[in-house]
Amino acid sequence: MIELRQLSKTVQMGGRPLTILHPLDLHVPRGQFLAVMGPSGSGKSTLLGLMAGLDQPSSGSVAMDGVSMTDMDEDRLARFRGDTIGFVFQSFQLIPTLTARENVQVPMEIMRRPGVVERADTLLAQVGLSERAGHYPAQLSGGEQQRVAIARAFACRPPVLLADEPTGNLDSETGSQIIDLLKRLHRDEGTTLVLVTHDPQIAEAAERSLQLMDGRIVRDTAPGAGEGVSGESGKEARAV
Amino acid sequence: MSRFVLPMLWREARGSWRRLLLFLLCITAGVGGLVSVNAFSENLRRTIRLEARSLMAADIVLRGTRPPGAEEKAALAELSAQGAQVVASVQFVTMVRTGGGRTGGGEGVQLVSVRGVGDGYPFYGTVETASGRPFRELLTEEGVLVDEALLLKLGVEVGDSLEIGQRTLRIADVLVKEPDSPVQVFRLGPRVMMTEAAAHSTGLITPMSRIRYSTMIGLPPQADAAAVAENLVERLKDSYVRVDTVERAQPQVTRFLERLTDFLSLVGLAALLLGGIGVAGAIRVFIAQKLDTLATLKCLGATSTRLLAVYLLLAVLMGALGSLLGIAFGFASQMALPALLGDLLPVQLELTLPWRSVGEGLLFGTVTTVWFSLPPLLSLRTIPPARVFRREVEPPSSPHTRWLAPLRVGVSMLLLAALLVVWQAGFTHVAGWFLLGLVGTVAALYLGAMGLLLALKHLPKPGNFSLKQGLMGLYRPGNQSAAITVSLGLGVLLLLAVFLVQRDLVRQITVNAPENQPNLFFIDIQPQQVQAFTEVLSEAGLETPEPIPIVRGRIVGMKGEPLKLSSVEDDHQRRHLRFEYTFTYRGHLEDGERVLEGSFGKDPNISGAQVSVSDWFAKQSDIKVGDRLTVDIQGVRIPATVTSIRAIEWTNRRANFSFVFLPGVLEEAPRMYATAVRVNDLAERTALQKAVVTRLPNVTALDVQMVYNIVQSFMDRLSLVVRFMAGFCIAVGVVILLGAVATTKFQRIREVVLLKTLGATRGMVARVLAMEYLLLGLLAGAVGAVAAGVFSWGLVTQVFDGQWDIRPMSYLIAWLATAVVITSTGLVSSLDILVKKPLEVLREE
Repeated sequence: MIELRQLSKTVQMGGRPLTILHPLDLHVPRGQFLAVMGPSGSGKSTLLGLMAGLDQPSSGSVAMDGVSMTDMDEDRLARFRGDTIGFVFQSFQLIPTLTARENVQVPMEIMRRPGVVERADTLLAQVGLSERAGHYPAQLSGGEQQRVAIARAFACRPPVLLADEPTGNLDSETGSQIIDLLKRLHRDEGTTLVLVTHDPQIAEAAERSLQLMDGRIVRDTAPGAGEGVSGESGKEARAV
Repeated sequence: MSRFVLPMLWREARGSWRRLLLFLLCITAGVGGLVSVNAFSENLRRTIRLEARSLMAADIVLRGTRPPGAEEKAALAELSAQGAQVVASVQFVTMVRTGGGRTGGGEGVQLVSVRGVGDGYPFYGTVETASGRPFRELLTEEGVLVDEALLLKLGVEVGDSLEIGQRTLRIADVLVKEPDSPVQVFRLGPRVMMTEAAAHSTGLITPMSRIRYSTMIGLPPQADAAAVAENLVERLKDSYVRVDTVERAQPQVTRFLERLTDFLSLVGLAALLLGGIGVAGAIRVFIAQKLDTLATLKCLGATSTRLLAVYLLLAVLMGALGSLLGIAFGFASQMALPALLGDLLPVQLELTLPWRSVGEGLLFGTVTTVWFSLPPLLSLRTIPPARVFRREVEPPSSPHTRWLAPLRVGVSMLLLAALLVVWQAGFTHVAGWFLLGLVGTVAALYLGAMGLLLALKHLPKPGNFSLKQGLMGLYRPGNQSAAITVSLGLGVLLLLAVFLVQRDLVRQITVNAPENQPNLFFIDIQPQQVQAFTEVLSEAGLETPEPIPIVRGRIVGMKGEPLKLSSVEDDHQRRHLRFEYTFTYRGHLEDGERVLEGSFGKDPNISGAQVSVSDWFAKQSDIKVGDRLTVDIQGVRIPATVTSIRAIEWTNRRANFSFVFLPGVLEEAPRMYATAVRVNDLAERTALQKAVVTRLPNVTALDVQMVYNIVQSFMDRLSLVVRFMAGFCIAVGVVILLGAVATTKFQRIREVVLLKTLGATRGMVARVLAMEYLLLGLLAGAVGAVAAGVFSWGLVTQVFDGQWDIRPMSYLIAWLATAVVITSTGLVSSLDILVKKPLEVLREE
């Protein structure tokens, strides 16, 4: 489903090149729930951003469903994202001037999907927010906002869902509710789910987890993947 | 596109309308100014077009400085034979004295403008009298109509008698309205209307007097007025009379008003363009605050093109809405213009909202909004979607982007200004100069503002806490300090410069300064009256200065050839050649005269008359030393050789002459004398006029004070109207300020909350805010005042050739007033920031 080949990212920091992500290969099969772990600055978010085509890699390629995203221009990428990828962010990123329902509607409107209002209401019901559909983000609690964001992420039935520390701004109980919700939707919709987290407990709930350190994969729980391969060889981590 | 763009558009408008409202008002204030003037001007033009015939009181009028000659008479006879009616009218300035048998008890002399009208006047329009009686019954051999002003000035009443020249006439009624001379402002004295026969019977109409002759023609209803007029124009193309037709001629005041409204609508455009600068800044801030949303939308699959479509449509909508409000505002505020123009207006206006003005307002307002929104909106293409993950991923920025934004706005403004100004004024010199002036002024104001802001930033930080914080507030991102300074500065400039120029010009003609200049002129003294005149003056204890001989004549030949007016291509030049000029003769140069070419002394090698011409006339008619001119003095043609060209200081308040003949030729020509004296006391001046006029009824006295009053009241009117327009620029500045306060509100609240958390009291916070606005106001006021100084200096010394005065108090007042306006506006709009509790704010976030 997701295929990363020799993907790396280097930025200029104070005039010196700084490698955030060393070249790595990664394959995520369809329907897998993958957790990406690692301390701050280990390159988790960069990896997620590159996967989504939100950032240009310094080398290597990203392919989804066999389609290479690396050579697309910005507008094609935008359309491709709308079709293929759903996002959940740590800071929710709801549009403050839109109601909960409208926030869920937006991606479907962008992609010109039919039955926008009904689908939005169904999704809000699924995340348990039917009564709050007309509220603005500022009128919702953090957990509620994240549930709206999840409903929005699933709106276009994307085959891939990328979640960047979705519980990072929530207390642990609300956080685990959110994870349960994500898992349920992942199961019901058959979505490939890539989730970046600090929390080992959440990682344990995943089918597979990656550990990143200083821009390298140091552990991969996938069957057949050796632990710390990339960290020690300094070249690559291979996961199948 | 509509599935996403339109709902998004609606939601954005709904969510941000409070912030958008202020941007919208920038456009509203600008469009308001423009529409107000354009609608008014359109109404004025329409009314004048509708009333064109009654404003002429005839179909065709021949105007000249001499009675119709043979050529004109032949043409008129032909027209009469075809059924046209012809009525003569004369007009001249003279003195009236109160006669015997008064009931009002007043006594004195007064300069008046006499009009004698023949039977049949007016063909169109009506003469209105105070009693409502038909004026024809009132105008008799004895009876005259007078302006109410004359009754007030002389203290006489209807029924009293007046002495004019050799006649005693009776005031039959008060004249309320004269159709073809509706505006009194430009008249030297109140009107006295009488029959043409009565006017002739005063004995004041002589070949040497300054008389304006009009021959008014009323065509039969079936006649093709345009064709007849065209025929007549062709037939009289070489005649010295001017042929005015309904199509071609407009009252002078109309031409003046059209020029005035043209100028004012350019000022309106300036206000609109300033509004555009406000919009550009506002959109930039708006987009900056939307960065997260925009990045999120990009993550959700929205392309830059569609996002651009959303915000561009939003700009169109805002612009259109702002313009509509502006149109309403402009329509309402044009109501003020008739009152401001007062008696300058020749017609009663019915103020409508012409479609043309609506269209222009909507178009200009929307185009301006979109145009100025484009540069900041285009930048949304560069917002990286990865911003949702990593805040530090900002659009690429470098030092030159700081300059790029204002530069883009500047270039946008220049292009749009060029387009709009040309639309409004056409490809004319005025348009070009205005454009240049506007761009130059705005650039100067902007650079001045930026320079001061930069200088303040680099000064050592003040120790005072409020002052320091306030100063730092000026540089808060999104504050639009420079845009506010430019708009308010331009408003201040207009207001102050108009005031300063008015003061300097008025002072130049005031009676008291300069000292020792004459302030009372006597003209039309006949040669045989010089002795008597000298006696009257010496009785009053005055010495009579050497009387100046005046001979009236016209130019009939140039460079040895007979002058054919129809071959003069330049309208302006032709108009001047039609003048009846005043010639004098003397053998010396006066103070303030300087020979530029040739020599003033008599050249013995040249036979015949020798004349010195002014540099103005020489340039106008391309005359050089050695050229020959022929003048016509009451039918006698005199050839003369130009022996010198003189520069004249026209402002020296003497009798200046374009043509000075060397002695020996004109002494035998019919002539009048003029002289001037200085009498400081007003009562003495009045008494002297009375003494002269009682003894010599045909002599006319011109009091400089009276001319001063006329100019003064005229300038007052003008400056009122210009101030009215300056008000729109100020309004734009205030709206941008309000907008800037609103857009930076969240930032301010955070700052205030922080200050409060750190222990600052409300008073302290208020002082910080007040200090920021005060600094901004002082900045705008200073920039505007300095620019006004430069501007008025240029206008007074370079254009009006006058003396410019430094008036420190005026600048100080303008400066402080600006500071007060800005400080109070800023504080009032920041009240809610002040009263908010920190917790409320934190919860809102």
